[in-house]
Amino acid sequence: MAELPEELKERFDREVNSQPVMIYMKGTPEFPMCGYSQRAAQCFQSLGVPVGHVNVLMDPEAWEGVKLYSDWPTIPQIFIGGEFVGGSSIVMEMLESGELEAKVNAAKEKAQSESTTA
Amino acid sequence: MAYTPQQLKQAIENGLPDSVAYIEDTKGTGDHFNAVVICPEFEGKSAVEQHRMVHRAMQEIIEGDLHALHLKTLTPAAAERAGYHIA
Repeated sequence: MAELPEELKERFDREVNSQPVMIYMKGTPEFPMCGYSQRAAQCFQSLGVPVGHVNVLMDPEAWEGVKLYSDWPTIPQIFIGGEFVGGSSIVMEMLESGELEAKVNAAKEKAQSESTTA
Repeated sequence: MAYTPQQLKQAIENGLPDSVAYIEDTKGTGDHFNAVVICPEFEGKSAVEQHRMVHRAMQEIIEGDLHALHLKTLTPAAAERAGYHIA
Protein backbone atom coordinates (compact mmCIF):
# COMPACT_ATOMS: atom_id res chain seq x y z
CA MET A 1 0.00 0.00 0.00
CA ALA A 2 1.82 3.11 -1.21
CA GLU A 3 -1.15 5.40 -1.31
CA LEU A 4 -4.20 5.41 0.93
CA PRO A 5 -7.31 4.16 -0.90
CA GLU A 6 -10.22 6.61 -0.75
CA GLU A 7 -12.57 4.19 1.04
CA LEU A 8 -9.98 3.61 3.76
CA LYS A 9 -9.50 7.35 4.20
CA GLU A 10 -13.26 7.70 4.62
CA ARG A 11 -13.24 4.90 7.17
CA PHE A 12 -10.54 6.64 9.25
CA ASP A 13 -12.28 10.03 8.94
CA ARG A 14 -15.41 8.41 10.37
CA GLU A 15 -13.62 6.35 12.99
CA VAL A 16 -11.42 9.08 14.52
CA ASN A 17 -14.47 11.35 14.84
CA SER A 18 -16.70 8.65 16.34
CA GLN A 19 -15.20 8.96 19.85
CA PRO A 20 -13.49 11.77 21.77
CA VAL A 21 -10.39 9.54 22.04
CA MET A 22 -9.46 6.89 19.47
CA ILE A 23 -6.35 4.70 19.66
CA TYR A 24 -4.91 2.48 16.96
CA MET A 25 -2.94 -0.01 19.02
CA LYS A 26 -1.54 -3.52 19.30
CA GLY A 27 -4.05 -5.42 21.41
CA THR A 28 -6.83 -3.75 23.39
CA PRO A 29 -6.78 -1.35 26.38
CA GLU A 30 -7.67 -4.36 28.59
CA PHE A 31 -5.15 -6.69 26.92
CA PRO A 32 -2.42 -4.60 25.30
CA MET A 33 0.10 -6.62 23.30
CA CYS A 34 2.92 -4.06 23.29
CA GLY A 35 4.42 -1.90 26.01
CA TYR A 36 4.02 1.31 24.02
CA SER A 37 0.37 0.64 23.24
CA GLN A 38 -0.15 -0.21 26.91
CA ARG A 39 1.40 3.05 28.11
CA ALA A 40 -0.63 5.11 25.66
CA ALA A 41 -3.90 3.49 26.78
CA GLN A 42 -2.92 3.86 30.45
CA CYS A 43 -2.54 7.63 30.04
CA PHE A 44 -6.27 7.85 29.35
CA GLN A 45 -7.21 5.28 31.99
CA SER A 46 -5.37 7.41 34.57
CA LEU A 47 -7.63 10.32 33.56
CA GLY A 48 -10.71 8.09 33.75
CA VAL A 49 -11.40 8.64 30.07
CA PRO A 50 -12.94 5.84 28.01
CA VAL A 51 -11.19 5.27 24.70
CA GLY A 52 -12.27 3.80 21.42
CA HIS A 53 -9.70 1.49 19.93
CA VAL A 54 -8.77 -0.46 16.84
CA ASN A 55 -6.58 -3.51 17.40
CA VAL A 56 -4.26 -3.40 14.39
CA LEU A 57 -3.09 -6.96 15.04
CA MET A 58 -6.60 -8.06 14.05
CA ASP A 59 -6.91 -5.53 11.24
CA PRO A 60 -3.91 -5.51 8.84
CA GLU A 61 -5.62 -3.00 6.57
CA ALA A 62 -5.87 -0.49 9.42
CA TRP A 63 -2.29 -1.27 10.51
CA GLU A 64 -0.79 -0.19 7.19
CA GLY A 65 -3.49 2.33 6.34
CA VAL A 66 -3.37 4.45 9.48
CA LYS A 67 0.36 5.05 8.96
CA LEU A 68 -0.42 6.65 5.60
CA TYR A 69 -3.47 8.44 6.95
CA SER A 70 -1.51 10.27 9.64
CA ASP A 71 1.95 10.30 7.98
CA TRP A 72 3.36 8.56 11.06
CA PRO A 73 5.41 5.35 10.91
CA THR A 74 4.65 3.64 14.22
CA ILE A 75 1.84 2.17 16.34
CA PRO A 76 0.20 3.25 18.67
CA GLN A 77 -1.42 6.31 17.15
CA ILE A 78 -3.72 8.54 19.15
CA PHE A 79 -6.49 10.81 17.88
CA ILE A 80 -8.32 13.27 20.15
CA GLY A 81 -11.43 14.97 18.81
CA GLY A 82 -10.55 13.66 15.35
CA GLU A 83 -7.10 15.26 15.44
CA PHE A 84 -3.90 13.21 15.27
CA VAL A 85 -1.80 14.00 18.36
CA GLY A 86 1.06 11.51 18.01
CA GLY A 87 2.37 8.28 19.51
CA SER A 88 2.98 7.05 23.03
CA SER A 89 5.88 9.34 23.95
CA ILE A 90 4.01 12.52 22.97
CA VAL A 91 0.88 11.42 24.83
CA MET A 92 2.90 10.65 27.96
CA GLU A 93 4.51 14.10 27.82
CA MET A 94 1.08 15.68 27.35
CA LEU A 95 -0.23 13.78 30.39
CA GLU A 96 2.60 15.13 32.53
CA SER A 97 2.08 18.72 31.38
CA GLY A 98 -1.71 18.61 31.86
CA GLU A 99 -2.26 19.27 28.16
CA LEU A 100 -3.79 15.83 27.63
CA GLU A 101 -6.63 16.36 30.10
CA ALA A 102 -7.39 19.79 28.63
CA LYS A 103 -7.48 18.42 25.10
CA VAL A 104 -9.71 15.49 26.06
CA ASN A 105 -12.12 17.80 27.88
CA ALA A 106 -12.32 20.08 24.86
CA ALA A 107 -13.03 17.07 22.62
CA LYS A 108 -15.77 15.82 24.96
CA GLU A 109 -17.43 19.24 25.00
CA LYS A 110 -17.27 19.44 21.24
CA ALA A 111 -18.86 15.97 20.91
CA GLN A 112 -21.59 16.93 23.37
CA SER A 113 -22.49 20.20 21.69
CA GLU A 114 -22.60 18.45 18.32
CA SER A 115 -24.93 15.76 19.62
CA THR A 116 -27.29 18.28 21.22
CA THR A 117 -27.49 20.50 18.14
CA ALA A 118 -27.95 17.52 15.81
CA MET B 1 18.41 -6.77 10.90
CA ALA B 2 19.69 -4.97 13.96
CA TYR B 3 20.99 -1.42 14.18
CA THR B 4 23.61 0.21 16.38
CA PRO B 5 22.94 3.40 18.36
CA GLN B 6 25.72 4.97 16.28
CA GLN B 7 23.80 4.28 13.05
CA LEU B 8 20.70 6.01 14.38
CA LYS B 9 22.74 8.92 15.71
CA GLN B 10 24.44 9.39 12.34
CA ALA B 11 21.23 9.21 10.33
CA ILE B 12 19.47 11.75 12.56
CA GLU B 13 22.37 14.18 12.84
CA ASN B 14 23.08 14.01 9.08
CA GLY B 15 19.43 14.59 8.23
CA LEU B 16 18.80 17.42 10.70
CA PRO B 17 21.27 20.31 10.52
CA ASP B 18 22.88 21.27 13.86
CA SER B 19 21.06 18.53 15.74
CA VAL B 20 22.44 16.40 18.55
CA ALA B 21 21.03 12.90 19.12
CA TYR B 22 21.46 10.72 22.19
CA ILE B 23 20.56 7.10 21.53
CA GLU B 24 20.15 4.20 23.92
CA ASP B 25 19.68 0.58 22.84
CA THR B 26 17.23 -0.29 25.62
CA LYS B 27 17.22 -4.07 25.28
CA GLY B 28 20.65 -4.57 23.76
CA THR B 29 19.00 -6.26 20.78
CA GLY B 30 19.41 -3.45 18.23
CA ASP B 31 15.70 -2.94 17.61
CA HIS B 32 14.38 -1.05 20.67
CA PHE B 33 15.73 2.46 21.14
CA ASN B 34 15.31 5.51 23.30
CA ALA B 35 16.26 8.69 21.46
CA VAL B 36 16.58 12.28 22.62
CA VAL B 37 17.05 14.75 19.77
CA ILE B 38 17.92 18.40 20.25
CA CYS B 39 17.64 20.64 17.21
CA PRO B 40 17.25 24.41 16.70
CA GLU B 41 14.88 23.79 13.78
CA PHE B 42 12.28 22.39 16.21
CA GLU B 43 11.64 25.93 17.39
CA GLY B 44 8.00 26.95 16.84
CA LYS B 45 6.92 23.48 15.66
CA SER B 46 4.44 21.12 17.31
CA ALA B 47 5.61 17.85 18.88
CA VAL B 48 4.06 15.93 15.97
CA GLU B 49 5.98 18.02 13.43
CA GLN B 50 9.22 17.66 15.41
CA HIS B 51 8.85 13.88 15.52
CA ARG B 52 8.04 13.75 11.80
CA MET B 53 11.30 15.61 11.08
CA VAL B 54 13.22 12.93 12.98
CA HIS B 55 11.26 10.13 11.29
CA ARG B 56 12.14 11.57 7.89
CA ALA B 57 15.84 11.84 8.79
CA MET B 58 15.93 8.16 9.74
CA GLN B 59 13.40 6.95 7.17
CA GLU B 60 15.45 3.99 5.93
CA ILE B 61 15.90 2.66 9.44
CA ILE B 62 12.25 3.21 10.36
CA GLU B 63 11.15 1.36 7.24
CA GLY B 64 13.59 -1.42 8.12
CA ASP B 65 13.39 -3.67 11.11
CA LEU B 66 13.10 -1.17 13.92
CA HIS B 67 10.61 -2.47 16.46
CA ALA B 68 10.34 0.43 18.85
CA LEU B 69 11.51 3.99 19.15
CA HIS B 70 10.76 6.10 22.19
CA LEU B 71 11.49 9.59 20.94
CA LYS B 72 11.87 12.85 22.80
CA THR B 73 12.47 16.06 20.84
CA LEU B 74 13.73 19.30 22.33
CA THR B 75 14.74 22.74 21.13
CA PRO B 76 18.14 23.87 22.49
CA ALA B 77 16.36 26.20 24.94
CA ALA B 78 14.09 23.40 26.19
CA ALA B 79 17.10 21.08 26.48
CA GLU B 80 18.89 23.58 28.66
CA ARG B 81 15.83 23.94 30.90
CA ALA B 82 15.61 20.15 31.16
CA GLY B 83 19.26 19.96 32.18
CA TYR B 84 20.79 18.32 29.10
CA HIS B 85 24.43 19.18 28.62
CA ILE B 86 25.17 19.78 24.98
CA ALA B 87 28.79 19.01 24.19
